[in-house]
Amino acid sequence: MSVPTIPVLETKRLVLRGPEPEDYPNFKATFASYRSRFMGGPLNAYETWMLYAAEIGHWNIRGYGMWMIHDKATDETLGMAGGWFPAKWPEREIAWIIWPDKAGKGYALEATHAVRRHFYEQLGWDGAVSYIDPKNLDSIRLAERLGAVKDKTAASVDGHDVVYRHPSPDALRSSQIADAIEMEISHYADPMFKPKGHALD
Amino acid sequence: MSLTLNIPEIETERLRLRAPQLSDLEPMVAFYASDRSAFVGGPRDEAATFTSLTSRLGHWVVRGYGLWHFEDKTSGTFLGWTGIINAPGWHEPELGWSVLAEGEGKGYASEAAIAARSYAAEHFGLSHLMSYLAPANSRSVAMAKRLGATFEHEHELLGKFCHVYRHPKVEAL
Repeated sequence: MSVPTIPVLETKRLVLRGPEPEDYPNFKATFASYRSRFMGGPLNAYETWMLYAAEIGHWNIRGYGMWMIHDKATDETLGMAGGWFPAKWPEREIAWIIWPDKAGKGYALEATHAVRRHFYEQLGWDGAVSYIDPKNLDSIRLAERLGAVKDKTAASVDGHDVVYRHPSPDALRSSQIADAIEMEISHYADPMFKPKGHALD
Repeated sequence: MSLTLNIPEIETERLRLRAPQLSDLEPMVAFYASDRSAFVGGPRDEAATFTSLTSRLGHWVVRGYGLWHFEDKTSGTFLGWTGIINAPGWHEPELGWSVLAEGEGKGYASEAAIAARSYAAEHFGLSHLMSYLAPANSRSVAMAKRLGATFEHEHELLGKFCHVYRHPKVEAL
């Protein structure tokens, strides 16, 4: 049977690789915590393990999936970002989660920007959405910083989430959104220009 | 990088045991929506069934063994699954099986489970497996007995009462 090859994506501060069995402990800790409340958690040990196995299997079934985000310098894991498309979802989603103690450094922005570019440029996606719990203000802010806008006409997963539509590849290319994202990321990477304000993903 | 997903194919007299695949999703959804799934974690909705399908592949990556889906060797009709399950809550690796309505009553589940049991002994070092069975799941209990398994003790799996049946030790081939 086919073995999916998961590309390694590199950004200024991060390396994104496929989820590996040894990356499980931080995933488990996050999904056992309140941090996971907007992603269907907290989950028990069985559910968390099955979800992690499903994250891996998603790559095989769909040919894409969620990458594990690693710190380029230390290799420690920081969270996950990538594409998610379970059965009967209206559209392919770009999703992210950052471990609770790694939030506030712009890692989700940097990782999600990279995976979206990969989907657009390498896999030919013509767009994507993110399904977000309306109470998940950090994720809504991140979606907006990525240039996504609320799409009130689009179908949601179950009526409890709001749909944020990402800019199309053309819109991303021909606007200043990508420049703004890269400038924000560079400011996180350079402590002199660290963005002020409350913690962001 | 690539994930280590080495799911061997096994052929028996009538069946092919192979990796779970996307085209199995629809029959799985029907199974998990039906009473047939009552003893094996059902009912599950479509989203949960998709997670079941994808997690079966991840199980192989994480553990190096897992569930095969089996199909009719000639027609390719997907008939059920069998293999080794070992997730949090399991006190040791389990030989499990389920058969879809299409494959009921023809001995397919036994044929597949025996093949999986032998393969696990030879390749995974799991030569003395057990199965969790809901006592009311009379068809599966009967099948376990036909496979030579015997009642060992009462147990609780994921909050549900069950019986542990021990399979005969598979001797080195």
